Amino acid sequence: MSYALRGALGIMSIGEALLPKITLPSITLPIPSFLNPKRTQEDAPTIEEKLSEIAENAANKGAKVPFFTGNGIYLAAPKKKRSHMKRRLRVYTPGSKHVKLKNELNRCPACGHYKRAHHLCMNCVSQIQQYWKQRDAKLKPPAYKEEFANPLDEQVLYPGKTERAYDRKLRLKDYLVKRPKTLPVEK
Amino acid sequence: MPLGRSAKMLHHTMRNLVSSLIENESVKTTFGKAKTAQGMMENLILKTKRTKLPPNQFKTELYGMLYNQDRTVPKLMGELKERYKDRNSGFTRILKLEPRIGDNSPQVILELVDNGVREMKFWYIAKVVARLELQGSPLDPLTEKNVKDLLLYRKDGQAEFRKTVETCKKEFFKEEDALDNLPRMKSTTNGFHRAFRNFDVVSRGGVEKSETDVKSSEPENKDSQ
Repeated sequence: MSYALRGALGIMSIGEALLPKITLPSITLPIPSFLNPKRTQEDAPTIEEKLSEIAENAANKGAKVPFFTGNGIYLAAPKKKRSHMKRRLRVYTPGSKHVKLKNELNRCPACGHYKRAHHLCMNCVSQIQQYWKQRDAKLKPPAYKEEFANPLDEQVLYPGKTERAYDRKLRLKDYLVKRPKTLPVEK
Repeated sequence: MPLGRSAKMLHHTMRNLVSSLIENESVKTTFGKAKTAQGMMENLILKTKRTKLPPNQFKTELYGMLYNQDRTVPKLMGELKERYKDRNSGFTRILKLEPRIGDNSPQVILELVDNGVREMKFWYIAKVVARLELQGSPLDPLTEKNVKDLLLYRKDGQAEFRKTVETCKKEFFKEEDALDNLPRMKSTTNGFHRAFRNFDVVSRGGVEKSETDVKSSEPENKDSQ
């Protein structure tokens, strides 16, 4: 549509004198069926042909005719809305979809909070792993650092960075989902 | 296809896992993968212990079974072989963790037994002992048994364990209410079930009394109403 408008504007700018002032819309008259040559069954249009024809027509008329509705072809759709009762029966009746009670809970002997039986307490595990990380970082040789005789050289070569909000977000990792600590056992 | 992989992919995955396990002493994966890798690891160590091939020939064989061979193969033939000379089996251990956040797949830690670097069970039990000592309560039978099993084949295990307990005391109980929760189970299983009470609740003096007071006062109020 917009292309057509732009094209029309372009032509207008070339010169109004060149164009006819009054234009009549093209009229197509419906021709009675007996005047048309009869089609055999082999010539009958398939669904694909019909659809492509409709699409062509729609493109020519500026998509005024809806493509999916009102063209004599129907898509599968439910006849009636599912009632409130039926929906709730389907969604909430089966026992497998209920929230289940957890009976397989223990007390973590290392922190006194709830934990799953036969599993480790994730709070203690993460605590220990964090400690390992710090411990191993200390054992590593320190990263190479350039030394400068004149501190001005360093300032010129490596001017200070300003941390943007985006960088800060990346560094803090607040977007990660963290596992909450479980409740203490009967405090 | 096991684990959603073709045979070739599966072989590479397991080879990779076992190599990482030798290198890092501990890996965190899903349960299925850990179970398969565990068997392979056990077999590898047994094979290394019992082989009658000359070392050079066996070394070339191992090169075809592992990755990062310059690090893994010498470690397997030297350090690990020496570490497990008194054991016949059970060189690895699987510890279950909570399911992963995101896809809810069951996670585990697969670790080599008696490694001094990253042994979760060693540290976990050390933390339990540290907590009990800080609270001034004696070790329960289950913890005692766990400590004994843990240090059975370990070289200088007792000294290392004491050192780890001291570290745990210093590092892990910094929160204010970290030691409030006392051990309450008399049973040796250290667990309890809500449906059937196979445990005795240890009375805690003031707390227990106040609870009973509340309970006893409730029916009186109802009567008066």
